[in-house]
Amino acid sequence: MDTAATLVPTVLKEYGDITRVALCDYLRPREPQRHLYNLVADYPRRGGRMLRPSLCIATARAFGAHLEDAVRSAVALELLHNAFLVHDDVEDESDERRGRPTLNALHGVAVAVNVGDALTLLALRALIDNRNTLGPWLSMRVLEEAERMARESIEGQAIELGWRRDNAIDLRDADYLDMVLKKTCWYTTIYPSRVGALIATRGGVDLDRFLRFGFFLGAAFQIQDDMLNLRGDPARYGKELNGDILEGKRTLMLIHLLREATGDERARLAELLSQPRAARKIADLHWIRERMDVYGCLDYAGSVAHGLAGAALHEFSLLYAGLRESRDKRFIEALVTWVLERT
Amino acid sequence: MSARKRITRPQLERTEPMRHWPTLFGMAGSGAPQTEGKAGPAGRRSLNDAVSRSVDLGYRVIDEYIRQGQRAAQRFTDRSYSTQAMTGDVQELAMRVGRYASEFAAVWFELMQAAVTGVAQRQTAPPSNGARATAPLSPSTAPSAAQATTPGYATAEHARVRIVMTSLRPAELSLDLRPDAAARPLLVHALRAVDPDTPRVTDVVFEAAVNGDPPTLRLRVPADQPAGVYNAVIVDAETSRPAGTISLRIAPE
Repeated sequence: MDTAATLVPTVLKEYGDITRVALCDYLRPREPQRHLYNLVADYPRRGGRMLRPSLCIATARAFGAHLEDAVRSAVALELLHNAFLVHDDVEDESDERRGRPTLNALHGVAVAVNVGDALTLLALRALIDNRNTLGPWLSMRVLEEAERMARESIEGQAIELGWRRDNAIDLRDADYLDMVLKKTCWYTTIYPSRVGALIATRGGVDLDRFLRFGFFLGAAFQIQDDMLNLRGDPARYGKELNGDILEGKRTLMLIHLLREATGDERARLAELLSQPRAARKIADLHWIRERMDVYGCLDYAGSVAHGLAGAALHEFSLLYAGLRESRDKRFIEALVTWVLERT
Repeated sequence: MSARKRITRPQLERTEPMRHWPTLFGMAGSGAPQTEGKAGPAGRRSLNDAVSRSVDLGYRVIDEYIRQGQRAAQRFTDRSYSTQAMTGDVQELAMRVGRYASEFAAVWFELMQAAVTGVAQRQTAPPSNGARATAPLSPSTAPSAAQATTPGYATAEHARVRIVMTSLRPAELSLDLRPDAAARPLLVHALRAVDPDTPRVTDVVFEAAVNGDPPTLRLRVPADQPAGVYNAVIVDAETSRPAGTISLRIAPE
């Protein structure tokens, strides 16, 4: 039997490989190959942890579904995730994704936006293909869930982009958690859990029960991800370190810094954050990073992430108490610790 | 009195339990950079407070989010039901919305299939105007109940059927019924595998609806039944016409 430490990587690889194989159905080379479909396959082929599809499949199986019933939904989720990444990179003017230049850096913004649109449509195709295994009613319910998930995610992204455009500096932790609930939690943890349970029970379970667990797990995941952006292993992280500071992203660390800084420091921060990304200098980035260390922003964010992970474990114990023991159930529980330990 | 010094309890190093949430996940000694004012007990207490506050704040955020959803659903319910004097049950309303959407989806999917392939792939889809219930793949020695949930077109009602399956092995039962079949006297014979030499599952019976309760499908899987898929046709006992199908999947040991 796998230990908790080995279980998560093992299951992520197993379900990730299954998802990748099914993903190939949607990434076949066809015309226009050079200008579209080769580029559409670029991000999915760069790898990734496959957290979302794995959580979707594991939840479905923990609730008693066949693996094949959840695979199309898992594929759709991964395609949509990649579509979000392509558009995020454009919006954030990012240079690096999964260890390579971003699509917008390689091919320009216009091409990248079009590739993101194509990935979204391919995700819709995978959801429609659900009909062959799930039937019309259940596949439509999954589609409705996907529509809500996409809407929540886009609303969350809009909030974050709005903060940057308006140079918001009076944000509270609650504002951050509100935003993360929509932008990250819905498509990373809430939706995979809800859809997995929906498929397994044919709508026989109240899906709102997954909101709390998904929120706490997803928020801990996002905070840890933001911390890795500041001090992760460059070889494993896959994105530019300190990129979030360059982008002016309102992370929990930055919000804490804005709250703790002196008046002068806060004024300087506000001025730096008001500049476009290209105008920010490396020296400014280092100053912000150094102030974060001085005010213990990463330790603070780490504590918040640990607290939220503890709440996720509590919610897991309530949510999954009635299910029989299984490897999938243990995987979902072990994910909570894994999100904090990943480097 | 003795002049010897009394033995006294040494001063305790601490007078309260060690409550340090971060160590729950091995945070201590994680290599995080030490920062100004962070090394002493005050800094640690501050981080512990951050943990507690974050949990409290997290619950407030998610509970407010859920309340907003409930309020939105309530407004929707009030507007939708007040003029029609129908039940105010939010869940029922949501199911109705889902049902209408699925009805539309069924038509939509059929149109798409017809447009794209010209040939409807019906063999894997459940009856478009029937009801379908599935008991999950799980070992069960106690009776379990499932409720048919999938309605079809506009006239569809919820066909409620109680399923009681007894099995020592993981098994999944799928039930597809035609509209109104649950109200008919139903008959089911043994479930058969594709291979004619495989023993049939014979301990299966439909019990008629009694006193407003739904009809009950009882099925027992013998402990030595080979793994595989078994199927049977449900027949209307009065008309001898097919009323649905049962499919049983028994997982390998």
